[in-house]
Amino acid sequence: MRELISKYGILIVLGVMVAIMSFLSPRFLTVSNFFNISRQISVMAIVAVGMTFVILSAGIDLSVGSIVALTGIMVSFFIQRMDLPIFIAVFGGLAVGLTVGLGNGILIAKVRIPFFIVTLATMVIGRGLCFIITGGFPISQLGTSFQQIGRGYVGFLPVPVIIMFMIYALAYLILHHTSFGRYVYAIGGNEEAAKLIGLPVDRIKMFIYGICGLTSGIAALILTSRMNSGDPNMGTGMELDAIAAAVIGGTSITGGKGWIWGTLIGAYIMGILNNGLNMLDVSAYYQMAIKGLVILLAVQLQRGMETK
Amino acid sequence: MDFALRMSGITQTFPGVVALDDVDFRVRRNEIHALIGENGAGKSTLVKIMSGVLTQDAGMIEFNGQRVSMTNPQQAQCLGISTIFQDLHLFPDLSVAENILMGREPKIRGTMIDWHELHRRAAELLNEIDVDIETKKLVRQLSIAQKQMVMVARALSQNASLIIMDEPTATLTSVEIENLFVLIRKLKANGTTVVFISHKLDEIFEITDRITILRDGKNVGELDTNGTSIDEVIRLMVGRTLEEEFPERFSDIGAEIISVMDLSTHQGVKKVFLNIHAGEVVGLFGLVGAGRSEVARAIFGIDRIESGQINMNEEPLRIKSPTEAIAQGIAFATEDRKHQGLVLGMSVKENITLPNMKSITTFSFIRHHAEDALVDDYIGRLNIKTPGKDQETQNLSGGNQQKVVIARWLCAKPKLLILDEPTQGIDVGAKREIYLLINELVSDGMAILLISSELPEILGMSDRVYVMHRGRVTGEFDKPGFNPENILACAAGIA
Amino acid sequence: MKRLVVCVAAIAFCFSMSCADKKDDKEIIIGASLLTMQDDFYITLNQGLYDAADAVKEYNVKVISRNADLKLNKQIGDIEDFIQQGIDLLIVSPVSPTAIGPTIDEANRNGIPVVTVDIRSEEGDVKTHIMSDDVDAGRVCAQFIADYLEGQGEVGIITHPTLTSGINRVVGIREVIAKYPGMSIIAELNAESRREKAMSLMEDMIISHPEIDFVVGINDVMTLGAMASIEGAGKMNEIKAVMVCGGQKEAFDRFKANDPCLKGAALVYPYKIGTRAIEVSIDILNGLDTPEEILVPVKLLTSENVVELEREWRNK
Repeated sequence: MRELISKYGILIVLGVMVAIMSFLSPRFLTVSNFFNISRQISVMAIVAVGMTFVILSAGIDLSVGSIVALTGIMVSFFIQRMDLPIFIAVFGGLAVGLTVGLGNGILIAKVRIPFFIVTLATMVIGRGLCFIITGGFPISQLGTSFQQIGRGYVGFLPVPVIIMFMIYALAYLILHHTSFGRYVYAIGGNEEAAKLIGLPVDRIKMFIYGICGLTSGIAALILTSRMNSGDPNMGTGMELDAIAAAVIGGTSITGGKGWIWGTLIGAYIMGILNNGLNMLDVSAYYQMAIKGLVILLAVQLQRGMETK
Repeated sequence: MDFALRMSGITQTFPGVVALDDVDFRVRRNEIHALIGENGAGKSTLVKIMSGVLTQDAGMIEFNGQRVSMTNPQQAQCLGISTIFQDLHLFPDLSVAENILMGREPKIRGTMIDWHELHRRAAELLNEIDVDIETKKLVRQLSIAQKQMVMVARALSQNASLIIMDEPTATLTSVEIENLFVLIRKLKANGTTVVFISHKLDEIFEITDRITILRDGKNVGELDTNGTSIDEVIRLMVGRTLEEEFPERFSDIGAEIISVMDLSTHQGVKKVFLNIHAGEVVGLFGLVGAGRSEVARAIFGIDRIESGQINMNEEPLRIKSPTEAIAQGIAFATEDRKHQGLVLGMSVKENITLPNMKSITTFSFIRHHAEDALVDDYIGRLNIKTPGKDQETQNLSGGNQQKVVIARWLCAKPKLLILDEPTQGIDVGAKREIYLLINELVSDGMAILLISSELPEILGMSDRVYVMHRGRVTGEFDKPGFNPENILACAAGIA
Repeated sequence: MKRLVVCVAAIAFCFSMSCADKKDDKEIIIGASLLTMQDDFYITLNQGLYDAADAVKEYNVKVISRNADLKLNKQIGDIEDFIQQGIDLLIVSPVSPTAIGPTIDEANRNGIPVVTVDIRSEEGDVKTHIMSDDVDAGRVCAQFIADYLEGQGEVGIITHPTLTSGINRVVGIREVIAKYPGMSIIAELNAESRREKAMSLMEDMIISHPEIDFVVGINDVMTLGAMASIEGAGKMNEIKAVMVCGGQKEAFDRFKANDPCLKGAALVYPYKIGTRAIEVSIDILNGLDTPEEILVPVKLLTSENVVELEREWRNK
């Protein structure tokens, strides 16, 4: 029941925001703007899926932004400099994301370096690699077929939005209908107990960080395609947006509790905030302050509802 | 009568348990007063209340004739009540002098620490209690006994008139205990009042003036030490005959399930031997820190085995992880179910099936109907009282939490079930249900290793008992030969 | 133990790699503390510094550049290290025009003359300041828009208001637009010099201001990001773009390909700022008088003159 209320809590926050924005801007509540917002959040929301797995297991992955950049640059490199077929370049890029994520997992689970330090290091190393590979300049003009991933439509649905919903559905399936998902929650809830019960905690953790790397890689494909360019600066600060989306969506920062659809709602709340404030031509400085306040309010509102 | 501390009508409840029920506790000025009782009798709760760690739900505290209310340990210290807990709260990387005068360091012109004065004052305090420790030494380098002395000196520096010692002798050698008693007598001679908590009755009779006995959260006796006997104290502590508390069992003891030979681990298990048969409950008794849980951890594959051998069904057992132990039919319900057992934020259902996912999944996809049926079955069989199987386990009482842990392992259908302190912190009714469950399991042919620090439980439930002291097995007893005094002697390492 | 040895060896190796500089008589060391190295304007400027240093014949000029990463404390630390190292001259693009003052004084006290590039320092004794004529760059862009739209239309600006160059360029844009009563600026948005940010800002602008005719970005990255969303929305024929161009290859390529959206640019010469900075530095060290301010002019870049201007830009 409490869980149910906290789920509705976040929906109420979303509803209130939509109502306010629609009232203030006539162009807000339109189908085309809905798809616009969905497309804008798709990259961050996909990163937030992996982040939700990690936070559920009582970890944090600070390296997602750098994984996005590294994957984006490698894909651009494969396409532009090596002239590889799109299909192979895409898989190569995903392999980069997955590998970096698994590398995080191995250092955390096997070498036993604290997750915060591992992912902080990966974040800095990854960003450094991006600048080394590109010399600081973006790799642009990746051709029209690659652009379909970020800019294409199936019927009236933008491709990135389709990919986003598919990944959320898949994550839901894994978290709530497989034993692996159950183990993710158990490790976050009580790692000591999970070990004593005989769960393969180390292996599960590796997979969790691997998933986070993979979702960052998928997000990178969309972002790179949308920008038609692999930019060494891309994805900067995305780790914080992804953490914020998960936490606004009700995932406990100490692990063990959370709801994957909550993360999607959290991503929409952040996206609507961005979009709405832009529509209202609110100055960038005010936007920052307002966003911080809304994060605090959303989380507090949920907690208030939970304890009632 | 002149009381240093008078607590009356103290009541304290925790979810599912009444820890203290209208308890009166009176300590006369300048006496050494023993507080005793079985595990779970409410001693530690009472100590926490008188030291300000907990605030009582109901009741009144008078200290030196003044009514006081304490909401944190600092307030108690200001009043002159100092508590020396078992886990000594010291700063290991600071010097003895700094620890003694922490927060009250002498200053030069109110800013910089006057190191010379600091060490002089600390030495003076240690001298006062005839203790010889170099004040510049780091606390890390001290023995436990010396650390206790530092705590006492700190208490004196705070002008404590009442010092509470929570099982101070549990981890000391006999020489150190003698030194401690000299110190306690000295404190008394200097006018300090001491509350002394211990499991060891011989110590109680050696050092204390009066005794208060708690049982099941009630004060069941306040005696002059000179006017009573060990037998009377035990009778008051236990308060019931073993037959009443422990249900009768009918089971046939079968073939040997597991045998442990010369088992040693890096965690302090030394050349331990034991064996358990099908349909048998084997008790493993010892004081806290004797190495009982460590034996269980080694059998279950958590700790690496240094030397020795474990045979299961007369085949050598080679396991390196709990996963393998479970596959071999071993289950281990750990002590401290909140930290090591349950995932408190997960539901009853999820906790029960967590180690048993294989039986309810197809290609690792959960068959929700199968899971629900399995869980409903165990909730019914173990009579787990929960509003529903989706209830989070943190909202359950201790007894029902313990049943969830046991249910989880029964799902795994083990041949050997290790229960580590299964009745710790749960009330009498729930205890009896757990005992009935143990009986049912062994009569179905399961082997059970019961680890407990409650002697009545060990005596009442076991077919055989092994006693441990400092990592070694110091005694083995068969049911007809159970003798509490001999068992306690083995546990204390003096047999 | 073995691991420890490997670690120590690795660290020692790194140090030996980075400390390989020894000074001889004819050597001049110039320290450059640049605002950032993650931006093509500064990467190109930095390249100009190095190339010009190589071109100097009379001395063996060595440039060491450090990335302040937009952080004042890092910049101050880097400059203090330079002073310790005993550099002969300091080139700096301040993170903060005011807070850098004491550090410049510190360098002067140690006999190190200071030259600023791109961003002016409000305080301290600076020999020469070299910058693009940013206000003029803004004017060139806005004039191009006004001519293109014949004085009628709506303009959106994408800027980065924490950069001095950004502020100056916007001043120039507003100055010209104000002269045309038929034109108005409908939004001025901050994309923090990030391509992805510019992209989503532009998406929102297309929806909230569908009547927009022109977008002007104060640098390459953000303008190209905005164009990505114009193209994504298929509005290349309705909404045109103009930028202040720092010389990104993609921008030149688009002009060469007669891009339907990108119509013009004010081309700035960061490379020239770099080379001029070295030339001025050598003059200062030779005891010659140098001007207080050097403005490197900007030129209007369009599809017509792209081949010629790119050659000139690359020829440096």
